[in-house]
Amino acid sequence: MALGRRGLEERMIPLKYAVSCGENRSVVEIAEAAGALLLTVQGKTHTLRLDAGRRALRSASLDDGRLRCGARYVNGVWQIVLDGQTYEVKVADPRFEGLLAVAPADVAAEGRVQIKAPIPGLVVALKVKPGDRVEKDQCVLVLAAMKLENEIAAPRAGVVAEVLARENAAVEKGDILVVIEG
Amino acid sequence: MPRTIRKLLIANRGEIAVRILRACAELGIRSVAVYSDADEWSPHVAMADEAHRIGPAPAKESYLKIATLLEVARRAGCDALHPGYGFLSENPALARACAKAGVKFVGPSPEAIQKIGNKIEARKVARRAAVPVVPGVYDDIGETPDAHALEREIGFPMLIKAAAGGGGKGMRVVRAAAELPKAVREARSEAQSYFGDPAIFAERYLAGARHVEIQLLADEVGNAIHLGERECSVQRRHQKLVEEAPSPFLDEALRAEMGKAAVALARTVGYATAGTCEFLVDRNRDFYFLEMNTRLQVEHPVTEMVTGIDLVKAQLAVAAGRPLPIRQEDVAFRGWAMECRIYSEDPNDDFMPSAGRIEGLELPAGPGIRVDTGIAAGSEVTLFYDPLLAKLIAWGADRAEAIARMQRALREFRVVGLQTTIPFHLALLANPRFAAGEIHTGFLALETSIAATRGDRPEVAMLLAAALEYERIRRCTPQRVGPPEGRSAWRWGGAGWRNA
Repeated sequence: MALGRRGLEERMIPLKYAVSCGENRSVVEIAEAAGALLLTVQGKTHTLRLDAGRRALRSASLDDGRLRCGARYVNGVWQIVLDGQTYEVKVADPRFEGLLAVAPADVAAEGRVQIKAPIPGLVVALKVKPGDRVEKDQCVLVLAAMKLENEIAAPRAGVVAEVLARENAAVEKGDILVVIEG
Repeated sequence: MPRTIRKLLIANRGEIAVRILRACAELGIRSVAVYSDADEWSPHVAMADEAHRIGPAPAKESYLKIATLLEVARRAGCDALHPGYGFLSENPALARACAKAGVKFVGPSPEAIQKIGNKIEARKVARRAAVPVVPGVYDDIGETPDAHALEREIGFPMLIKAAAGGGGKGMRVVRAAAELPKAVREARSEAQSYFGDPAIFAERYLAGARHVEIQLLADEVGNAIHLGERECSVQRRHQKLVEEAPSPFLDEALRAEMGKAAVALARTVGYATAGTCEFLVDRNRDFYFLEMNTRLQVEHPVTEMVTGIDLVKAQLAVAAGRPLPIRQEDVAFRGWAMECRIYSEDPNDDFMPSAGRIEGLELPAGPGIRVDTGIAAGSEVTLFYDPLLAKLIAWGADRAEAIARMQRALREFRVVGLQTTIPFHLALLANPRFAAGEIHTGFLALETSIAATRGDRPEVAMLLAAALEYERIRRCTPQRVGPPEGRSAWRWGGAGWRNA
């Protein structure tokens, strides 16, 4: 590689970010001046200073105001806690945006229906085993969440190909519980 | 008969275990905590004088194991056991096992729990004591009830409830005959798994009524008093979210009448500890007995704040065989108290439970604020137990001051790492109908805008995130700059870097 470590690091610090929070999108340009960050959005420049704590609980000044916030970075998303509200903010270096777009997508297997957990919870009862024939709307398992037991039903008729859920196991939202074929 | 409690086993976890530990510390009673594998590093374990492991994370294999709890009590030399709320608190089998082992159960006698803790039996007792009850079928309706017979007797909408239930578990609203079989199946299954008893009954669903409950205190030498009411009408899915005392709806006369009815019920069953009588109050100020909770309630702090009485210490005094320290005429109410239950649920995503690690935590404080919690920075919140993170209680000279203090404290409260119901509470407190005290059990279903809040400062959050990202990248090593976390290096490389 022609680039030295130092050179690479300098090249990687972007001066412009594509920022999104729900429906809100903007491009933020960043410059440093006298210990403060100058953030320019749509022609307007804000002065922001962050405390040196670098922990989950931060203090900041934004222009003439003061802020107390929570901050956590997880899987490429910043969770910002302000006034009790958690905002999920995606911050991307615009130079990487193109690369993200060409990354291969997950390909779903054809002819099979994956029944996924609609909510995080605990599997309290499995009602089917591999090889069982199920009808549409038949209960395949019971998921306890939010203190209620929810019957999870087959979206269509078929034969149970796989049961990935285990009784008394916690599942996350989107986990595949049962796979139906045919 | 007076007895001394020197060492108390706390058969619970989370904030209520911490609450009981604090009473022990103030009274000079040695506290013994129990924990499952998921809770070893929880505050309720760290704050106890002694702690014992009782099993793996699922409650069925730990906090619900009566034999294990009594084995710990024996080994640790405890003379009493406090069950908290939930888990085994209303299970007569635990009270019986305690009696057999010579460990004083801090709660009512097994006979009283059996008589009044079961909702079907309780309604029969209430009828005998001439306390009004909601129209319904007060027998187990079984697995395949006759929808038409129920419709003739009660009418739709109706409520299906677990006889042994509580806390909204094993409960379903049924609006038409076609919904009945699924509701019965689910309610019976929940009732079996949570309470070990599948029996369910049906009663009329009173729309637009308020949920008002009376706090009782009774001793073993025949004294029984009430400590006024708590209004708990703000509910979703039959779960209370905000409670307050006094109720904005009750006047002196109705309070006295409901208090009298509750005390009469307690006397009928020989009740001797703290307890709660739940009532529905309709627009005509008619009240109907719902059930009696034979334990400490989650929302007990609002009563403590307006009466100045420590309910856990009162329970321990009664359990020690001492008479109540206060007479009915000495009970005085001062100011207004309100409690917001802070759950690890995402109000922006239909209150889905949110699990994870508490990366940062700042609890509010200052005048009139009390926080009861069982979590700390670094705590892991799992899906094994109730998602209650903390109870935020605000006291004010009047309702307006209590609300203003609550709003101030909710904004001070910082939880990083989980979604919480704090934004929901802020939206609720800003609602003009809530501010006017116009609440009932269907309130949240009508005021849909409260749960749909998304926050009004996304622009500030975006600026902060951009600055934090800049700070993160600038301090990162070059290797960590590049693919966002969660994307494999292989996939990233495959997208073009290999050839660069």
